[in-house]
Amino acid sequence: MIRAIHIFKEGQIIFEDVIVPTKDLDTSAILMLVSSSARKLQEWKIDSMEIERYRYVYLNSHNTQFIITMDRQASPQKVSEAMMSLVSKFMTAFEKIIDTNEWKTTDFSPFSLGFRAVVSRIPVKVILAGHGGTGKTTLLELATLPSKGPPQEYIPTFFGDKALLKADFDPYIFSMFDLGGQDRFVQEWSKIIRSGVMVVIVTDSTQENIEWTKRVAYPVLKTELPYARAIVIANKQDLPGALSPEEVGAQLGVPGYGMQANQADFRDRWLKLLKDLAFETIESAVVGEIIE
Amino acid sequence: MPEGLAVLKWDDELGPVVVSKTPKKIKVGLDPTTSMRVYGIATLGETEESQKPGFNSLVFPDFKLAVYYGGLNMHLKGLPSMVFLVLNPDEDPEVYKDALPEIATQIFMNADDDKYKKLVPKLYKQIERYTQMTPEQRQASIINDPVRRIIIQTLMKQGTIQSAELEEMIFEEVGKKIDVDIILSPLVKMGVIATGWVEGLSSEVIYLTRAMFVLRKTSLDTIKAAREEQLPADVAEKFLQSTQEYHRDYLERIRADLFETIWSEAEGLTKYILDFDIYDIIQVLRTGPIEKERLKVETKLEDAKLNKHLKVLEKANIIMRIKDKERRQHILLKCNPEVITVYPEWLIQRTVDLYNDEEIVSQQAIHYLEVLKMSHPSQLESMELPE
Ligand SMILES: Nc1nc2c(ncn2[C@@H]2O[C@H](COP(=O)(O)OP(=O)(O)OP(=O)(O)O)[C@@H](O)[C@H]2O)c(=O)[nH]1
Ligand SMILES: [Mg+2]
Repeated sequence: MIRAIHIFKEGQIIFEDVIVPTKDLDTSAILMLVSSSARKLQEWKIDSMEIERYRYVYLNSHNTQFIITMDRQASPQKVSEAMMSLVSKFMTAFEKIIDTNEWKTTDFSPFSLGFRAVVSRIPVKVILAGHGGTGKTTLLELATLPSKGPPQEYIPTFFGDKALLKADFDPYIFSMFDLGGQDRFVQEWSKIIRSGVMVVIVTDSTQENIEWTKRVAYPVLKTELPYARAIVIANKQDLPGALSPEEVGAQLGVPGYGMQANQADFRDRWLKLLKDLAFETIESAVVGEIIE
Repeated sequence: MPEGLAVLKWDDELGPVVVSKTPKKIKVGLDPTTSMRVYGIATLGETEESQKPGFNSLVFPDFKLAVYYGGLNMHLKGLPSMVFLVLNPDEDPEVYKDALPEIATQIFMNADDDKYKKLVPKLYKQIERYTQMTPEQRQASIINDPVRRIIIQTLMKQGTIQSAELEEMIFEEVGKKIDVDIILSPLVKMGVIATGWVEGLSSEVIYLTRAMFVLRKTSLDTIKAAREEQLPADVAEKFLQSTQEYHRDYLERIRADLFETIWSEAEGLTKYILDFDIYDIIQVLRTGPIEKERLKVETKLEDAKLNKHLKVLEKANIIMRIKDKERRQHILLKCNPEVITVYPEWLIQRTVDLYNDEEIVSQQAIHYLEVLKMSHPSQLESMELPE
């Protein structure tokens, strides 16, 4: 997931578009550091730097430094390609300006459009993880097949499923991976979940399921996706004896949110949660830092 | 006829994606949910240490799939790793059990720079024909394949090779790493090689059990027909003289340098055997000389095509076209290009020599001699490899 772009010239920012800010970091100091590294790069060479759960991909062209901030967990290759296409776009529009002193007085803000178009071409990978029967496929279909309504019967997912989700998440689109949660499929997760940026841990809000999640799901997720963001869905809140979202969240060490995935009218809440997770406007946890 | 052929790779963000397909508009069987499931079936239980590339056939309500999976390595690297043959519900996927791995191998070997994309339509057309191949044509396709040809050549000289060495050799030849198992599997099936583990060696050892090559044989039936005056005298005379001369010369070349003689034209000769029209012509001619008009009927080829093929074959010294006094054209097999498999007798002594000179790991030599003993034609019934 691409979060931001910054364009530097002579040590000063000439354009920036921040979609999701980086948290807990001295962003401006880091950007200065990255831009000075970028200045030393050969023309059109791409390099990157990782700091905590972020990756800074940078390129130098016409004495101008381009820095893309992305999630460290996402695959760098597509972002490098995106960088190439972005810089070509930029140069096509501004090459003359950037080579003269004119850049000091130019408004580069129209470039935002081009940037966001490129961002939306790389789907953000979302992982639905959890034990069999907790409601992952129900959540997938609740989001992606609104006219059908969420499934009421339980058909275990073989291996995994996936679907693209386009909703009010601009400029992002989500690539939703619904994992098979039966025990025999959990050992296969590592073949599918690589580059997952957001993890939605689905529970049926029972004590037994919380134990399973910690024992079986956590080791895989922590190994494969340490820099991903996670929330817990405390599903099946309608069932008697369901633990509260706060309780489920506290036990799992990840902020928990209540849900009833088999109810069509929970769709808006579900989409809002996904959006808030992407834009980091709700509490979430970093998978590698989860303390149970 | 299958409904279509598609190549898929794993994309971290998108999951399985179709990277090439033919016909262009085919959709059935290629939706993400199905392909995800197929990846699952193929990879279930697979680990990086125990990869399981291979063929699978799957039945769905509205279609069937024959799939070939290249293994976890290709999957994880995001290389083309899955080839789908989409079939309609009344076809039997098992028919493509031999053909699809071959097609898939071609695709996987051309994975760099997306070269395979150009091959897909051609391979799709070939697959139907492949299922109709005779055993001889299958052998020819092995010899025609440059990588497998080198393997056979090497093994005919030294009998055994370790798979790690082989991997290196292939790398030098084609400039990339290729899954040796895919390359070797049809050779194992045909009984040309055997593989096994030898104590103390870190990679598998490959053994030659049958040498396989193409030879220009004399066409006995054609010569017999010429001698027994089933042909006009002038035609027979011209043919006999010419074929005798040719074979005398060929034999001399073989005596001078067997390897050079058979391998220098192996690719060319197998190409003829693999061309279905040309192969039809050769098959007819193997039974004896024939007049051109009859040949046309037998092969059901149009004039232009037949003439073109005959010209090519004549130039390759495979056939002769001779007109008799009544200006009827006779077509005769000057030499018969045939795939031969023989027991590699010479490798017994060779292995003993290598062993005595300590140029081969002793266990490997001993194991190979056992393999040779077991695969001796007299033992064929009970052919089974030692552990
Ligand atoms: N009562 C209740 N049932 C629910 C709720 N959400 C889902 N379900 C039901 O629970 C079952 C869960 O099915 P799936 O969503 O297919 O389960 P899954 O997590 O995908 O399971 P696997 O594919 O095996 O990993 C279905 O029968 C749903 O209708 C809920 O909030 N309340
Ligand atoms: Mg499911």
